[in-house]
Amino acid sequence: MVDKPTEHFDALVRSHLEDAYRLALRLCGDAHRAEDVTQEAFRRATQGWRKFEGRSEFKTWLFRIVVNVARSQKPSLNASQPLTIEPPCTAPGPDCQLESREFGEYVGRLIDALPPRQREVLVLRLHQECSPAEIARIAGVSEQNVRTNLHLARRRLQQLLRPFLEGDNP
Amino acid sequence: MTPDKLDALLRRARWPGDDDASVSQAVERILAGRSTKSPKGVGADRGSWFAAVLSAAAVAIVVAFLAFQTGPAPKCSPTAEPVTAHRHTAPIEAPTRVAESPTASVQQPVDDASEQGELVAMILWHAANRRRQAQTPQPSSVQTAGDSIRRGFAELHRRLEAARRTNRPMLATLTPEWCAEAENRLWRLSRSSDPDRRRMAAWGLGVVGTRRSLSLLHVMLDEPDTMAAASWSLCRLANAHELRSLIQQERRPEVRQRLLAVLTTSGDEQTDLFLDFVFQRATRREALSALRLNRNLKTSQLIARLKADNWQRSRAAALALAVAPSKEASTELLRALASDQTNVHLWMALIARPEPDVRQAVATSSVDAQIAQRIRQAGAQLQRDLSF
Repeated sequence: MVDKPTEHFDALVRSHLEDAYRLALRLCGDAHRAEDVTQEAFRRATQGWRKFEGRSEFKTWLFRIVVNVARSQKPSLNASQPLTIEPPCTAPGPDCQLESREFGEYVGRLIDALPPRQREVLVLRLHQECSPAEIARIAGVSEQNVRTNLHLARRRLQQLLRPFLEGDNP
Repeated sequence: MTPDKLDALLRRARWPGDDDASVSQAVERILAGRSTKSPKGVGADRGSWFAAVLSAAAVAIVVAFLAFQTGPAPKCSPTAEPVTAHRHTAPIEAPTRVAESPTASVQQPVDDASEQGELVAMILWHAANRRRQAQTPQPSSVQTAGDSIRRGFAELHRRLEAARRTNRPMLATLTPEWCAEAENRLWRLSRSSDPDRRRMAAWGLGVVGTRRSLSLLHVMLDEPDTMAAASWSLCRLANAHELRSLIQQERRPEVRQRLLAVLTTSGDEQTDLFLDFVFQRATRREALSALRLNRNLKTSQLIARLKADNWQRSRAAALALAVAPSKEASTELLRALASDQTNVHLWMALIARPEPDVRQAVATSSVDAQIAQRIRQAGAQLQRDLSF
């Protein structure tokens, strides 16, 4: 086994930890759980660093760990997801900026409500800017599976966001 | 409709806590190992983590050695079956003991209640501000503010998890006038048909309420939906004498346990009251079981009681620290051990702790004959006190 300098690992982790946390946040939809997931992923990365052979990029490897940890974590019992997600009020007014932010949160909740695999693929593609090949390696599925899930996720969200796509943006 | 337009909309998605400031703070917490999980940071910390893993076998040997030295392991599980003979010998003042384990599944941890109470106050504060801003002739502004307030309440549960850490400092901005107004508003909210709103009202009263809300909170204690929140708020508003009577007169074990659990999160007076319940054999098991409901136990008050002149409270604090499901308790106890190795009650708390570092510290100290004698004495005492 190759002896790898820990400084190299530290530098890599520091440069990618923020992205890893953002990915965890988007997969979990909750800041506290995301922190736990990232922490656990960090621990696993620390343990597995010596086995990392460099066949993929470090970022891909770290993201794969984050995705695996997020999958293994059960949703919090206290987190009560609403049964229906109400669209935000889009009337112009003094709270325009707030409404815009709330619209972003509304879209975030719609993504949270997707099936886990579709959510993973969509988040990795749109928010983490990963290529289908990278997503396939991260999620541990085939590229065809990535494309299918991406298509299903897009189609579902397109239906839900149809009023906003047809009219003016909020 | 193009895929690009859809993607542009989807890229606008936001999640609570994904702004740059919050992300930076979270990353720093992760690097510093201050999150809720235990892994350590990079570099030297990782070395110590590996060292801990590698020394697991050594720790097992130490534990076995300790068990041999102190005799049978003390029965420190708060869920142990009670001996029913004590029921009839209980003092008149003491509350009745429970005969079975609490139904923890329907209860929330006490620290969550604390933070949720503060968050409810925060949301009310925001709502009031926005209402004030909307007091202009334009009906559209009033309508928008009204919608926002309604949405604020509807989404409270989703935001609780995300916002509770970051927004707490804003509580310092609350004024007495605003608190009085908020208390009236919470009274109205407590009559809502929606259990979530009633629960919010109960939490909020613990932060902004006054003693005039005590009677309302007593009533809310009877309702399963608001019981946890009302008990937390009652402990903030009632004095120790009132709380003692309340716990003694309460017939439902789950409510008694909830009240006992929140005692350890309040002031000194309430902590002393909790230790009184721990010291009395008739109520000890129930009081110690209540510690399980308190996920982030504030151990500093209990540690301070270990050195109290009142030996009953000191011993009760040792029992509480012995069974408290909190790793922080072990850290604090080890810190206390560094300055004082003569306190038998400190040893009582230490020898029951399951953490490997504590076990190792006890084993290292027991090389000294005098300390070994003290540890044996503490072990025997602990076994007597925890045999229900």
